[in-house]
Amino acid sequence: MEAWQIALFAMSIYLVIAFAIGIAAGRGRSFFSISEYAVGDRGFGLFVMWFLMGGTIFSAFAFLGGPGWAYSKGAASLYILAYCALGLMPWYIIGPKVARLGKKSNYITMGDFLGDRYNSKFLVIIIGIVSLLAFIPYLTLQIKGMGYIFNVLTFDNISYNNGALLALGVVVIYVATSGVRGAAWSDVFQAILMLIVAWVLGIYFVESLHGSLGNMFSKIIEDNPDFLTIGNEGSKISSARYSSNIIVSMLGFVMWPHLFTKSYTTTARRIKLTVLVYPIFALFLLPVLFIGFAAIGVVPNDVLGRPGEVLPYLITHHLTESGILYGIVGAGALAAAMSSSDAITHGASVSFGRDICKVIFPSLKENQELWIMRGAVVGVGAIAYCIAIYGSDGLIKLLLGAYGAIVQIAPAVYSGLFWRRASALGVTLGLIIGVIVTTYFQYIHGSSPYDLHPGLIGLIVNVLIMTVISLLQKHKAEYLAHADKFIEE
Amino acid sequence: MGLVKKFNIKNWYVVFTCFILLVLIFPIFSLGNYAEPLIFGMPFIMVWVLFWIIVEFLGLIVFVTLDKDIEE
Repeated sequence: MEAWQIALFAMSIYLVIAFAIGIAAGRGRSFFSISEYAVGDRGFGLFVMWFLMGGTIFSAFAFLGGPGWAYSKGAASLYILAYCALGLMPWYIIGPKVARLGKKSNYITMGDFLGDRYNSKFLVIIIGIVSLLAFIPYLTLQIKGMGYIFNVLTFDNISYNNGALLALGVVVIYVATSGVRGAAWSDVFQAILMLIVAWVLGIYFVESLHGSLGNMFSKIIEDNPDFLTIGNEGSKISSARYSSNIIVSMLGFVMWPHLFTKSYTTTARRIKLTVLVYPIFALFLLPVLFIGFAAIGVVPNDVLGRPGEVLPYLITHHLTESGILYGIVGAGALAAAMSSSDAITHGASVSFGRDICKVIFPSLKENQELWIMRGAVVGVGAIAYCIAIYGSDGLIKLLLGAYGAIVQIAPAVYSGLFWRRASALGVTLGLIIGVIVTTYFQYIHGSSPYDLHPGLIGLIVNVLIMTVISLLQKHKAEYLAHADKFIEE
Repeated sequence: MGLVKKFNIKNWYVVFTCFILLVLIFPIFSLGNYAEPLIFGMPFIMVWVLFWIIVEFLGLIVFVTLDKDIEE
């Protein structure tokens, strides 16, 4: 067998195992229960929660983008560690509250919770649309990563399109059949595999290309000392942008609907113990950055199309010719992309079924709603696939603007839990105008004041509008009494 | 009495979260914003970030231990 065939064989074994775990996870569970499909009957154990939440951060971005950032932007890549460490901290406070409220009132989505708190169907639909708009480009990126990995590691024998289709197909089938449980258990396997591969590669490349960590960083510092600092003349990022990136990511992380709804899958105690181990997950990302730093001075600047290609370049030029090694690396990278893809397709399907279809057609039966969700897994996968294959770079860049929109949900969630006077009108207008302001600074104006993250400017406007409108409105006594139930929980 | 204690722990948690955020962003982050010296072969700025992540982990252990609201 040739090396590429061995690599393909190893990756196929990985796909079969991930598929089998995903399918097996749903066996013996009710196939016709929305609560099971969406939130695993609220009974996930601690072990699964750790990897479910952990697997989500190890996306294609961490595996391909992480080394790319370290290689091209230096110290700016530390942002990835900082936001992973901080991203889940707010969940310690809001997660247990949301879990208890969800259990009491049978919520399965973020829209369920906000719609009930603010008594507004319009808000639910807005949340549903924002979620879908953010999920699709996020999934598109994972699909691009999967196709690329397949293509490079089989030396162009499997085309980009077919590789992406194969990996995505596996995800779509196990999510549609096993729901959140399929995503969760395959994440356990995928996260472990990806961690092992990341550490082995990180240590290997540093040792083989530079001898030691100290040597590697000394060479980088000799060349440009500011490359390893932030906000100095030779640095790749300003201090304002670095700081505001971290703030926006920290506030926005748990607002991603697929992460927020994980509050419903378990108990308050397990949520807190999941937050506890998250800093450790951030430390596990360190070797991913080492891979990128190891490429400096080794990979010439002009051979890469994009910085994200640095890891595949290292693998194909500076790893042995062993096909089995290619296969294992490919499996690790696929695992990273797939463990995010399953959570995203699942989250998007539940949002579409509950926050959009069920609100517009309230007479839908549980069974019909569930089939809409399963169908949406295929639909969302197909749309994201088409964008990944046929979409121009410009289109994808525009869609990625939806990322910035996610953090705009934060004021609605926090005031829902902590501020009784917050009103539906204030929250909704704040959200919409916040998204518009963010988009304006990101795409139309092209730059933002003080080089701050556009999402942070949108957020400030959002909070101001929400606060002023909520304070000006007169609230009925029943509204405030209803709000108190959420605050006292 | 129980209520007051619960309130306090949550407040301290929020303070702790803000503290960890502040040491990782500017202006306080400028204290760690140096490439050298190398510690364990890693630049000072990287060790700074790693150090506070470990402090965060230890802090979280304390909170989880003291938290009376951890029922099953």
